[in-house]
Amino acid sequence: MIPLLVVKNLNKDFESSGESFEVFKSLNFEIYPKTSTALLGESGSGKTTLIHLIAGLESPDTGLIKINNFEIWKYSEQKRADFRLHNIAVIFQQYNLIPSLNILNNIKFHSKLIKKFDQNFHDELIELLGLQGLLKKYPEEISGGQQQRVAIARAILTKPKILLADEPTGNLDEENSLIVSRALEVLLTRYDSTIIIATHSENLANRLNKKLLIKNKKIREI
Amino acid sequence: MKIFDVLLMYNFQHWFRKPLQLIFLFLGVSLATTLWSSIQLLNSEAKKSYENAVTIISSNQSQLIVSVNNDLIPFENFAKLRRNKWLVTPIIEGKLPDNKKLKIIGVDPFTLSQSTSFYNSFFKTTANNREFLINRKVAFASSATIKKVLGLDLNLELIETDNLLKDYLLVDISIAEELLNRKGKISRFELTGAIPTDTKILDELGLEIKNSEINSDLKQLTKSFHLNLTAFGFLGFIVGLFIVYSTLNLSFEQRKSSFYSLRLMGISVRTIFLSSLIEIFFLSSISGLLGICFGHVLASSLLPDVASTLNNIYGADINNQLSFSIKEIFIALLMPIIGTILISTGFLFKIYLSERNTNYKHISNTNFYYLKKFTPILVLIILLVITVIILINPTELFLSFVLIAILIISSSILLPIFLESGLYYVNYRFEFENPILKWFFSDTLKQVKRISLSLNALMLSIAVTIGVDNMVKSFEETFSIWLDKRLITEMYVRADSDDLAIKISKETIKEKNVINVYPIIETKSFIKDTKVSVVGFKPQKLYFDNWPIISKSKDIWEKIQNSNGILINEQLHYKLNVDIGDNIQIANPSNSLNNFNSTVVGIYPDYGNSVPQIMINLNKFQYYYSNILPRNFAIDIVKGTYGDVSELIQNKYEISDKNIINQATIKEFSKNVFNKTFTVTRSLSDAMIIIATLTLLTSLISLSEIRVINLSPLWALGITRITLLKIEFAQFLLLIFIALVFAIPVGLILCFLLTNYLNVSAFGWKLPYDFYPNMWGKTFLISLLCSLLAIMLPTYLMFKNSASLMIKRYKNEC
Repeated sequence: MIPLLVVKNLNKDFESSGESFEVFKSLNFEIYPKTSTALLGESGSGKTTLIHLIAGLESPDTGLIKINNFEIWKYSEQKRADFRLHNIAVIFQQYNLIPSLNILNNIKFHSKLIKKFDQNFHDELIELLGLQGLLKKYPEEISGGQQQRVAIARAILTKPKILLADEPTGNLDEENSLIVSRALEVLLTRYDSTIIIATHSENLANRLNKKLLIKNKKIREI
Repeated sequence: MKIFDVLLMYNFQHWFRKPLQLIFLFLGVSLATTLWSSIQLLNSEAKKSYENAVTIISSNQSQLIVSVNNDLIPFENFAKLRRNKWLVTPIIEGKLPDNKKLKIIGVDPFTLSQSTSFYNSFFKTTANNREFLINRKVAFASSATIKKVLGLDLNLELIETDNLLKDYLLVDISIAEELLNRKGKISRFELTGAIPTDTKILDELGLEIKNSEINSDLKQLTKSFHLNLTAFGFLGFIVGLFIVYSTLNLSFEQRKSSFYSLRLMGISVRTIFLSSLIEIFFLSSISGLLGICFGHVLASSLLPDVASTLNNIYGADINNQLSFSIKEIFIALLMPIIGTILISTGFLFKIYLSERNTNYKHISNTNFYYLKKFTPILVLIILLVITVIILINPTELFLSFVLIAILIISSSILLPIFLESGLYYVNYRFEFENPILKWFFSDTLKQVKRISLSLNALMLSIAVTIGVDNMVKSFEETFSIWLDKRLITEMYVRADSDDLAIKISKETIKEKNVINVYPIIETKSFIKDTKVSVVGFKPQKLYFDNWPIISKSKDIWEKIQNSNGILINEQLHYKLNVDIGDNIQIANPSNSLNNFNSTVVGIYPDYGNSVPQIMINLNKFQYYYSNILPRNFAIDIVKGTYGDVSELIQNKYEISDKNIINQATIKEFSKNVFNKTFTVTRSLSDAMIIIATLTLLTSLISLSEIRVINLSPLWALGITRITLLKIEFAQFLLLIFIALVFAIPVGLILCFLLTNYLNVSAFGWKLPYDFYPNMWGKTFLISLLCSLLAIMLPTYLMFKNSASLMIKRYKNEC
């Protein structure tokens, strides 16, 4: 089977207050389609950075990131953005909802933009994630947990080839975490998506196919 | 270190961490102060000059005796008056023949009363008095004048004084006679005692008593000019403070969570409040001081134009050098400090209220919700009521300014409401399928709240420019037409003596190329205790065909010819509320038995004149003021013969060239005065556009950091930064365009208020006003271009820094 995501010899340093920190040193791993992977590691180990590198938001110093044979850092910002728009959905730690749109329009936004909006799936997700009462509200008017569920709904509704999630259940209680897991399962089983989740939650990680641990600038499967 | 000190240090550290915000705060306060203090400096300098003028021209509350025809008075009249028990002192005044800039005032130290301000200002000390009495070769002058005089070799001992304006030299009357080449001729007398009961001697000598009202006259006449400047300065100050508001707003927003944390740590709300207050006080003082320095520079550059305007229109002499005392600096500093504290009230209030409710979000969303929502509507209703009340009786100058202030405040309230309602309608009326389009309008709605202050600053500056330009243009055209009609003949001649006047009136008509001669005569009189000028003229066809008239009764010229009616100027019409058909009593100051009544048959425009005036048939004039002969003549000549006729009259009647003037020279002079008058106004309205553009620029740069974060969700989804920036640009452009379009009707209403209310109350004339779309278009395009430049830099900076900022956001670093 051809891997959906290939990461080869990835190096990434950070500059902070004039000092340089090495985050990744010759990182190598592959992820296959229609699988779910948990990215584990201590706080500050680089899980979020890796999600950003894969999404094409943050550039690596050296190395290769290939998604579905598209070498994401080889192309212009325009092509990279276009690829991300149509193939990747990201769930951010900070929810990343659009402040000027209400919840309903926030959920629809990405899928409508790429003309993949599916009304039935939309209704199903709203019900599954318990968002019915929030649709007319604005992001600033709802809680962090509710915003997180809205961000998850928006990402899943696009039926992406690859879903990247950064602590998607970080602000959710057990019950809601379970609901989110179910929604992700729907995406995985029904729409053949590949899911990569950076998480501290053992429960969530245990529900996924594969676990990758980032430690000492390297990554390994556990 | 005490908690308070630590807190204060923390507050100041914020500004060092955000140097751009500090620069904008300084820029805003100092710009606002620059405009305000420069206007205050100009006004204060003018005021000082008016007060000094009293010292120069006459003493306070004194009465002068002048020639009825404004001629020089023979010195023998001094003796005649004294013999008739008139306690007077002679004064000579004039410009030095070799140096027209230097003005000489000659006084007689022996007859000068101790009650005069001359005496108090110059001779109160015994040393000075004695010196002036003994040594007639003493001259008083300001230090600046002394420097000039030193090079002239006048052979005078110079004494420095602060009580004289620049370019004035006070000398003994005999010295003045020599310097001015006016042996035996004096300018006027000043009464130093009570007026004798018998005033016959005055008629015999062709003299009249004139109240010295120079001070109050100048102050009154120039009041509107200074009020106009003050209004502009204040508006500029407010617009400049908009920059401060957006910067302070951002700084408090950024520190909101820190204040909350400090509260949780147990620091009292009063300590936080006080430290913030001191921080604002300190910052506004430093930047205000900077603004005062810039204001001095600006005022110095504007002073020559202001001085020239005041001199040309009102005849006021203004010192060409600014003086500034420490006390004045402190007073000027109060404005930026109070202004900045006032605009911070909202933020400070929130800090203070947090004692009762520590959740800021909660405060802003609940306690103030209804207040915020309904305050603008309530304010608009109140303003509407005030407007209606004022419009019932809008004659006061102050009320005209109130009307303009109401227009400015209500349009500032209405613009955001207008923008929000329009965008709300578009948003909810049209169900856009395209999510970007949907987001565009929803987000633009949010942008209105973020940049409403800058939009208001821009709208107001353009409205003021359009309003003022439209008024000036209307006035310019009206003035030009009026001038053509008013200057009925090509030549104007003035005779220096009654003999010559008789000769001119009888013989000039016979000269070659002379069509007709129209004598003109003027004297001062009173109507209902208001000083008016009475003009006598010969009503003939040339007047019937040309004289500009605003309103008239039937057979106006027939009635004037038959001495059955009079013409009044617009100033009199508004000041005394006199209209066509009204019968008014005109006093005769020299003989109350000769008061006469007459009916108003016409009202004529009289631009540039501040005094109410009536025009009556020359026969009627001579009947009531028989002692006065006309000395001014409008001479109608064959076109193109001015040179020949002028030469002939000069030679034959021995009239100096300064007493013959042609129509073109008067027109040119009048148009120059006109242009000078509006130089300062135009400069200030241009400055307003620059400040408004700066407000827009600074507020967009301040907001750009927050804005990048707002846009980051779209970028993360896959919309490129360049696309986002194009959208951002389009949003600003749309809002600015609407704000500018909104400014046009506001500007026209302003023009209407200026022409129909302010001009009437300030100058006594109502201007017809026209529309000049080309001019608005030009202003519109210039401001659009300025705005484009102002939005280009922040959007470029956003584009440059956005990626790293957006990434930071996702890592919870900002």
